[in-house]
Formats: sequence, structure tokens, C-alpha cells
Amino acid sequence: MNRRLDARGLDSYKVKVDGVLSLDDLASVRKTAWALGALPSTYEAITKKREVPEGVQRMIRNPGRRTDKQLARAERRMSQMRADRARRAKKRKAAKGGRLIVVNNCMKAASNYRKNPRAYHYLAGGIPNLMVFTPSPRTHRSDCSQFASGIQDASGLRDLGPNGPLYVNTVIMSRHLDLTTDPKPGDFGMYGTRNNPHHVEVRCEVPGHFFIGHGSPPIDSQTPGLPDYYLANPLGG
Amino acid sequence: MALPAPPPGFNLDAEKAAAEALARGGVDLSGINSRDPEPEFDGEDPDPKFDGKAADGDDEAIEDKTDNGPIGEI
Repeated sequence: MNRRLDARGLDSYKVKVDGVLSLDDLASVRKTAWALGALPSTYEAITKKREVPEGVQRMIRNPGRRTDKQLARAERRMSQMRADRARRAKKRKAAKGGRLIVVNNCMKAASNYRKNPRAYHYLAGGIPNLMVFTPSPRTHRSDCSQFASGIQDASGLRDLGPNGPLYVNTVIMSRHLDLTTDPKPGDFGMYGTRNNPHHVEVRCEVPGHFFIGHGSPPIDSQTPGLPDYYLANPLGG
Repeated sequence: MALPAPPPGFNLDAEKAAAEALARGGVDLSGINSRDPEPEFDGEDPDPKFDGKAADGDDEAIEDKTDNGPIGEI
């Protein structure tokens, strides 16, 4: 499946080969089935029913045996996806200065992670640190707001809270940073309410990597897959 | 070098509660993930400026030669 995703510019959906079928893996199978031209009712059922039909497994193993209709659907979808990505990339070129540094640092951290995913962990709590480009010891804090703050610090920009970069959490970010309804690359997508957010991602707007963060976004946001609100990056230095 | 003391009241309760709920639902939180909730186009005509073929001839790939039957409409 990872080869199918790579060949279609969907590398951010690649899965860890660990013998466990997680919810993230099912989302990746769904995306692969979409990219290969499966019917909407087929690919939507993968995440709803948490089952991968045999036909989808076969088209992933042997895309060369798809029907003409499946191939034509796949090519239409890929063409439109590439056109949309080109439109978004044009818009993203507006990113410069500190925002561009943030985006590049997020891409670097995510790329490093993909090279060695088993070395990373999740821990809300533990020893405060700003490590985002390398895996940290299992005793070290490694969570969504630690990632956001670490990226901000590595980018040489203003802290995301009043207590220095080591002591940032989503609630502090929400109190300290300004809301924005016109988010740009480098701003922060927040999940939950303004007073009690529980997840943050960095908006990067890179095709295939629109959001980068530590951990997966909660699926209970008002708009599934999208943050509930955005906070503006304070930039500066 | 000693770390600065955490500010009074600093905690990660909201993140911990959300993480625990997600982990119970089978969500993997361990990594630095990138994602793109881009639109999943369906039914539109191809954009003439962008071809829809996969790279490296992947549209024709056959990795399991023992599976000879056609894939039905799914």
C-alpha cells in the first residue's frame, strides 16, 4: 500500500508496518482506495465499518487489474487533486520569514519521524524539553503542545506562553495568543473550546502535509478533520 | 543545568484526558504526524493541465501474479 501512496503523492498517509491495523491505518486504506478509483460507497465503508473489503485488498496488490471504470475514476481524481494542490501551493507562496521557518522546521521534524517512527513516544508530562527533531528518552515530555513550542523555539520566534518555551500547554496557548479567522502557514489549529483546548497542530499548507503535529487530531472537532479554531503565531524573535 | 521550576498551576490535564480518551479508541498518538484533509474529488472532469496517472507506471503494477482474476466493480 505504501508504494501505491508514494506513486500518487500521498506519502503522508503511509503506514507503519507493525502487524497492527490502527484507525490511522484504516484512514490510509480508505485514501488508497479513493486514489485507486474505488466507488465512494466502498471507500467510505472502510472507516465506518472498520473493514477492508477483499476487492480493495486486491486492487492495492494489483492496480494493473482494475476495471476501466476504476482506472478512469482514479485518473480523474488524481488530476483534480494535483490541480487543487497547485492552486494551494500558489497561495502558500505567501509564506515568508518566520512563518516559512516554522513550516520548514515542521517538515524536517515530520521527515525525521518517518525515518524512525518506532523511536518516538507520547507523554504528556515527564521531563520538560524542546526536542522535536530527534526522538527523546521515554521519560521526556513528548506531546502536541511540547511539539508546537519546540518548533517555535527552534525557529527563533516568540514564546507561545508567558512561562518560557518549556512550560507551554494548549490552555496557556489559548490564553496567551490571539485568535485568527484568517489562518496562515505557521499558525496553530486548536481542538476543543477556547477555554479548554486539548490538541494543537501547526498549519503548514504544504500539499499532503497541511497540518503537522504530535499525535493525531481528535475526531470530535466541530468539523471533522479540521481544527475548531486558530491561534495566530506571535512571530517576532 | 537545572530546569526552571514549572509555574504555579501548570499542568497538562486537558491534554492527558484527551490523549487517554483517544488511546482508548485506538488512536496512535506516538508520532509526529502530517496530514492533509484535502477535498476528495469525485465525478469532476480531469483538469486538462494535470494528468491523473500514477508515477513510475504504478497504475499497471501487478505484485501478486497468482491473483489473475479481474477486480469487479467495487
